[in-house]
Amino acid sequence: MTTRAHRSSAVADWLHGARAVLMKELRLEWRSRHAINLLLMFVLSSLLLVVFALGSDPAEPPLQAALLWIVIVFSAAVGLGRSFLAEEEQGTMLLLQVNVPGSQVLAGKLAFNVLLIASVIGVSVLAFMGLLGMQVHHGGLLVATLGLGTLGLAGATTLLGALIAKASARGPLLPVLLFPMLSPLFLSAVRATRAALGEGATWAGSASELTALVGFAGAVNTAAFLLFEYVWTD
Amino acid sequence: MNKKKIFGFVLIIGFSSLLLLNFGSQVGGYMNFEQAESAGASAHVVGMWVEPETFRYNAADNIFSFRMKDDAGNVRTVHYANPKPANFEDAEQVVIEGKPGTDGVFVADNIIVKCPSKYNDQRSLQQAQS
Repeated sequence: MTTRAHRSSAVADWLHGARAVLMKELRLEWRSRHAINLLLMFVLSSLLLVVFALGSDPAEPPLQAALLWIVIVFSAAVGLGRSFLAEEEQGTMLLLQVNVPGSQVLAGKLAFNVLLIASVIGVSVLAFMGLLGMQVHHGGLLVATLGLGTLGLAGATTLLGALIAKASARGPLLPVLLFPMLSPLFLSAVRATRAALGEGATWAGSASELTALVGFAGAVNTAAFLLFEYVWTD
Repeated sequence: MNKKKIFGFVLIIGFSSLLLLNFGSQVGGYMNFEQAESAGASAHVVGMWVEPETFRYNAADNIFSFRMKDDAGNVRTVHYANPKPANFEDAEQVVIEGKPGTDGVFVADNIIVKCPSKYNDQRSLQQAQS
């Protein structure tokens, strides 16, 4: 009985710490709105380029799916590397290290990045529907694909962001490391999105893509929690 | 701490095998007609033509059509918007690259014909020629 109470209070403590890091990120973001503005500008400007380039031709679902994920992945690479870089630049890394255990920092940052990517994805899907005439034939499949893709993207960018915050040539480092790592996620997500946009989409038809996305998100996030202690305390 | 690490490694192995198994089946590889129809996308199908009488070339529309049986035993009519490929009758195996079209017809963009080798196996060449 006492051990269970002890354990549940440890879980509550852990959640409390993670939540504190998330709230700190949200508050900082609310004050500067640096990341969200950057991301939205990136999404909108790349989308406008796509719209101009395609002209009045309605794009086919395979092309729309590929363009949608290119916009999402590139904006993630541009905007999300900053989460640990900002700590390094402001010199607040040490403060965070002293006060909060590593896994809670990671959980908070991860949750923040999930929220950022989810908002980017929401905006770009709405913009694609409005500007490119994207039609969704299987909403559930699309939402599941985007959700799993968000988890995988957030896990990969958060861990890599922590890694490169200590490196010297950081600017172009994140995309270079991120894109090869994301290729399984990207291919599966594009295929599942293409299926969801086309007619006659079923859950069973995209089962292998969705399972691959679950596998990617699970593997990347587990690896992030296992490896983060070493990156963080080093 | 140690227990946590072991748990984590087990999770990683589980998730990455899930990823690799499902990802591997998506990229490359051949499908049969039923898988190609459920995927609805461009696919490679391996098989063999059946009944040479069904070879038909419609010169007006430039469509060559034949019946083909894939590895799983599904038989479909294949349309190919070109004349009959060379050595098509001698083939031991054909690979078609294309998409499922309407009413059970498979529309091929490309046909790859595998013929018995002249150089290695004299017997199978003779069999094919006889």
